[in-house]
Amino acid sequence: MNFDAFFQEELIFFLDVSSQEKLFQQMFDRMHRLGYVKDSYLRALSEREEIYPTGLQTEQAGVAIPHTDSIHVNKESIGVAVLDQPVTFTHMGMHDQTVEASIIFMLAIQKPDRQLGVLQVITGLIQNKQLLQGIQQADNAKEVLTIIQRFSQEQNV
Amino acid sequence: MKRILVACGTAIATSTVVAKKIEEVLGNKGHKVHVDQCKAAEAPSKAADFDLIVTTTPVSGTGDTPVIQTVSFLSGIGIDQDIEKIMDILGLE
Repeated sequence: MNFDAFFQEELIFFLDVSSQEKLFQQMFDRMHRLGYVKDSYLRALSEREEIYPTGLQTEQAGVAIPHTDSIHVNKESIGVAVLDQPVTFTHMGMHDQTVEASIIFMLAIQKPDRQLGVLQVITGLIQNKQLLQGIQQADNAKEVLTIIQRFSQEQNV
Repeated sequence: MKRILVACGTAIATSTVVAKKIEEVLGNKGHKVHVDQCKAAEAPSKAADFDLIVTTTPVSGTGDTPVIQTVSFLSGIGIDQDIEKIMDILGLE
């Protein structure tokens, strides 16, 4: 996997937001300003989240992997947000369950069939208690990036 | 070869990972399976060609093909039980 193509220091967020809407807006604002996603991304992302929610309860934390169709993406990337206070998501596949998500991986994917490597890295991270804890406790974007980078090298994908 | 259809909301991200994971885990147990992926909305029209559907989001109209709805392959919680279920339905040992 070409790590640098997906993960950027400028796309690591430390946010204090009170709702999913504000979370999406803030992440979108920066990703859009930096040219990673198109104008239409935010609305498409929010609509998809309504129909196919992406919250996931893992052993360590609640996480979410919001994403939408590739036509709304300019440049492939992953926005990573570490939240001061969790935001409520509906659980994937379970419309009557919610998740208090504190780490968000916002996927801007263009060619899903060729992105298996990066998706496997994210799934691997989500399933790894220590790494999630490391991300939650990180002091700055560089630390988060280093955790993800080291893990993706170990995975060798 | 047994055929598994993996479905998720839009076939952008999650079904790709789930399909690969199932292939890997069953492969490690010595079972080669054919795995395809699709959007949840496409599942009814494809169901008849598969022995099992694994989906992260509810699907309906899939006829006699057994369905396992789970997010374990993403969250990491309950993978072993789901693999057992899959092997059980497919008659793999």
